[in-house]
Amino acid sequence: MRHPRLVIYERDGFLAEQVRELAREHRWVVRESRQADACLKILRDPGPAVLLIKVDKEALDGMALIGRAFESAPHCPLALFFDEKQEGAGQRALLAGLAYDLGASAVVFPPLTQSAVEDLAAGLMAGAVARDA
Amino acid sequence: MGDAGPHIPSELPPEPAGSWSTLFQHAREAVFLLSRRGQIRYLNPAWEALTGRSAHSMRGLACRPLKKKGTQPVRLLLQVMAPPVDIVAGRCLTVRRPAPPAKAGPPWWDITFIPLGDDTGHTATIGLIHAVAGVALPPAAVGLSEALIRLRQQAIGRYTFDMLHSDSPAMQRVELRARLASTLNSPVWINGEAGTGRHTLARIIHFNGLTRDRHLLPINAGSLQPFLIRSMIFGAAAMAPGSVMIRDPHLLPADLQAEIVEWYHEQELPPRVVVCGPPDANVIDSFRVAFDALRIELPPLRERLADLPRLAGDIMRHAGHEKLTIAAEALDLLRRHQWSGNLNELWGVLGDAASGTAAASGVALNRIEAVHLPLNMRVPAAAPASRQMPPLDTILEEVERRMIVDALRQSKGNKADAADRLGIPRARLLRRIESLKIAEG
Repeated sequence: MRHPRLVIYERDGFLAEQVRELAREHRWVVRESRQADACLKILRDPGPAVLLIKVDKEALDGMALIGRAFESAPHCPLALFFDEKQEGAGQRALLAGLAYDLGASAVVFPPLTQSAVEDLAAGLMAGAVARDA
Repeated sequence: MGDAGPHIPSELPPEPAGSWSTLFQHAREAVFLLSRRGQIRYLNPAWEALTGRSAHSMRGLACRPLKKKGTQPVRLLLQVMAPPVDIVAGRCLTVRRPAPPAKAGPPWWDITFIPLGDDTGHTATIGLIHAVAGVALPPAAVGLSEALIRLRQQAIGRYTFDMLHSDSPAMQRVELRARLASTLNSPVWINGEAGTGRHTLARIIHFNGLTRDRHLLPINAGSLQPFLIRSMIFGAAAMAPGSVMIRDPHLLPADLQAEIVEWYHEQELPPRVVVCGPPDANVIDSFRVAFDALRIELPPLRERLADLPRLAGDIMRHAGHEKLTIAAEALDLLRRHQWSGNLNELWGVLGDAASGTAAASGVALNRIEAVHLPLNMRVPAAAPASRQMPPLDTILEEVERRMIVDALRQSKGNKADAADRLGIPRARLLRRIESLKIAEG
């Protein structure tokens, strides 16, 4: 079976909690993992998938995952959420720009409200389904 | 790399040939000529005026990037004039660097490095300095940690024009136009069926272009809500993207299309806008006029089937299946397919097939066989009267095959367990595996 998958890479379950209801409404499966390799494996399975990543300040692990995910599953939309506030607009722009260069579709900085997370995830899910159709 | 800094060679290289002096002596732009090893061989008067240094005092010094940032003005100047590593590959490059003695911009210098070579390889480098006034546009990497900079370099290094090499005339046109687009800052409109690689082409143009040291801002109109798109484009002042890629512009509301056009015309140094979508799409006239400057038409996969083996190999490598090969029979079936979904469909078919190689016994095979491809590829087209439905036996066998393969996968190759799951005796399962020629590890 090819259930559409909402793959979430984070440490604390925050994002998964924000999108669980949305995923249920649209009959998507939420797959959480703290292992980058496991996320990639899920993404490579056939069918629509979206990857949501939440990272701390430096974001090296999340950035690396974006690069690997975009290379091995370029059809999957990727969104990056920052857990901590960044110092100044310049630093935010640098990190966002890097994420876009690596393949992210969207980058979100705090505050991470449920509506912001849901709005973005819903759009990416719709895009992934349309692309897979 | 990592040399101790400027040094005077024991023997100065010969005076520059008269032709260099003649050509660049009266140029308005600052020009310098470096030897293969990065030593300064020639500096024109415009360079002297820009830097306030005499050519005589600098000739013979080596321009090389240092591990540690220099502090003396002359060391800073030599570092800024050091050619990037990529230049060795024979590519012209324009990079933005802080104008010395400042360690960070603004002001900036845009330096174009032009490699010169002969049959023996890279022999010298010409550098042209253009001092950038006004708007400060920091390169993408400044301010990031070394690890993140390396990550970016690895990622963007994949996007080379080699990805476009093909014997197909249509793709050769694409490569020529992409190379042209990369040398300009003009808007580009990429047209092609879904899945033909429009977004990858946009990345190739950006990451090989004049503004490759700045970011590519992707705007996916089909996935992002208008308020997010507004935030990404109009709030991107601090990011100063080198290119903005707009996917499926016809999905943007008309008022947002108009705002993007207005924003573009207001920019002092506008980014390159790359639009990916059908040119006859429902966009407002001003949007089309502004951005349909250089058109690139990507051919569908069915018109470049000679490239299929290479493309399939690339996809397998990127998808982490580099150890898998494709059997000749399977490749033949792939060539005969119509590929209405283009590269996206090929990616999906190969992904499914790669999963199939591991499914039968839980042990990965090293080759994709015809049997791993979808049924609609394996069953030859029948006579028109019966084309709509394959024979019943074929369908039943396929269903049986899939159930057995799934059961084997779930039981990790244990046939007794798989037989239990299927509710049949183990001996019968073995017979069916043999009869249906289900591959085992």
